[in-house]
Amino acid sequence: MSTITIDLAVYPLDAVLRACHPFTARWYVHVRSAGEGQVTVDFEPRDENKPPRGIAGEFANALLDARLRTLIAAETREIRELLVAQAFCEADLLDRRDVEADEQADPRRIAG
Amino acid sequence: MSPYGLLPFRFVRFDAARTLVVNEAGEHQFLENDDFTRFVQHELPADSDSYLDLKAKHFLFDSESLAPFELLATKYRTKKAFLEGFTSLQIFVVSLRCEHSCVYCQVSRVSADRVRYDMTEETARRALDLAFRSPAPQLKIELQGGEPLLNFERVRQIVVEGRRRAAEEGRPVAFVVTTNLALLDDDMLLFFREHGVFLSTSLDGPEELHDANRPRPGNDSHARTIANIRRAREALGHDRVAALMTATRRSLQSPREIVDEYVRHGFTSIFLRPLSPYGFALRSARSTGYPMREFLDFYVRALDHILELNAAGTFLVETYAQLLLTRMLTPFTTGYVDLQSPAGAGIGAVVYNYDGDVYASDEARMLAEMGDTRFRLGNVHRDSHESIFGGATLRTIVAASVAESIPGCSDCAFLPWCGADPVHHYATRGDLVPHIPTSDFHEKNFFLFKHLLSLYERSPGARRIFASWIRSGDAA
Repeated sequence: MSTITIDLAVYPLDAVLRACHPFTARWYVHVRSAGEGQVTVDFEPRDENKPPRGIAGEFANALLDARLRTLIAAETREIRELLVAQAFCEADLLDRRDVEADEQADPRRIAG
Repeated sequence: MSPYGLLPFRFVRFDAARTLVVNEAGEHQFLENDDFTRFVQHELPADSDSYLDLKAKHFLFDSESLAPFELLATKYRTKKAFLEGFTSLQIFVVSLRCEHSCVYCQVSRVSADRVRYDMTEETARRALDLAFRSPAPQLKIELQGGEPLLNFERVRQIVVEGRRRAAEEGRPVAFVVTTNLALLDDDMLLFFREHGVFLSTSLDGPEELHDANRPRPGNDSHARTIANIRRAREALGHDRVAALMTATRRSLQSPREIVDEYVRHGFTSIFLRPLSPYGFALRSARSTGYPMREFLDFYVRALDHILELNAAGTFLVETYAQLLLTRMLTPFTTGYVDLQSPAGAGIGAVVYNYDGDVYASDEARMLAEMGDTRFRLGNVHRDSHESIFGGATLRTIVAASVAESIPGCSDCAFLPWCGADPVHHYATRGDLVPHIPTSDFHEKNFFLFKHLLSLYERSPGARRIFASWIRSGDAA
């Protein structure tokens, strides 16, 4: 078992979980709260014969990349949503119940 | 304040020195790690080569960029253009019977029971009714089995009626018969010639390997296949007959010999395919199966040999590499339903089984033959087009196969080139949503994207050959 403690002020939980995911091929990964603003990640080898050598450095790099991915995703999220919307704007994605209903209709049952 | 903004992209640490970035439309760029850091920190000098490359390929925009969002949206739509061809591939299983008993075969039955395992005239008619409800601008109708030539009456009906309906609508339709060719006779050949039918067959390699993989009475599968490939080419035209191979554990020892066999018999393409984890193939996995890593070793050795042959003047395409390269290096997508997001099962292709059951894919049908009918969309005799293609089963498949929302895929640099295969993952792992770190589908495609890109980057010879493969795909 190898344990790594992470400061959530540096790496948000979303980035921690994303960084953990690829490691689940070779490890059982346990993420636990470790007091305010911290989590610990325990790596337990799936194969007992393969010791957790080098996991700390490998995971530290994965954390950095995961954090970078969340930052890039946040910075480009609005543009990505705009792109997809514009790409499919000719597709009929509207819910016609709303568009075509008359003034007496209540297709979404707002009135209960 | 940064003088440029980032456009959506994903990245992977490609090797020790370089990072690969791929944008939403599938364009890619290699960056030295230092340049990558400067890029994401908005510190890349505007006059650097990396800046200009990234701007031209829509990874960043600045005050001088011309309509970057509109252009990128157009490119994104082009990459997703496969969605416009809803159910353009219509597969008819006209018989489950077969006189071969291949070691990897998923579902074929060696049986004389025509009533039980052959598609009836009425079932074929109703399936055609559904097929021509497809909104796709052009259709491909594939007739397969089992061995479809064992129910040639149904092949004839579907081709003749399909041609008539297509002509009435003015809609192009192509017919492909997937057959082992062993039962091909002159009347069949004449019919195929009159109706412009393509043939697709199986050639697993040299005689000893092919016959070991594909036993039949008389143990003469290879001899019959080769003789009938020759006859079919003479009758229909050389390019009307294609072949593909399936690799068993035994095949993995002979990559060069398999490739050479295709060259010897005049093929200009070979499709190197691993075993499918379905049906009888799953049951015989202990004797015929192998880890994906071993298949990839085989693939690399075969591809190296194919590249050597091409460099020496023999044109031979590896079809899976051609598919991946087209997705990686052109603005376009491919019609390959097993590598799309959302997956092509049920929206790119649909399968009508001999008994009228409708499945989202051939793999879904194979699962049903094992007793798991989870992916049955309905039946041509009982269900409407609306309930089959608008029902909960197909909606579940589509929702589970949007790679953009799959953990492990959503962050992957290769996502715009890749796809999802929910039926495969359900068959192998019991879940439509894959666990990417242990998925053999991921292992195969991630490795091949990197391998092909490495070859493309470091070898001008490979680059020229790959470009010729992409061009030949355009022409096909």
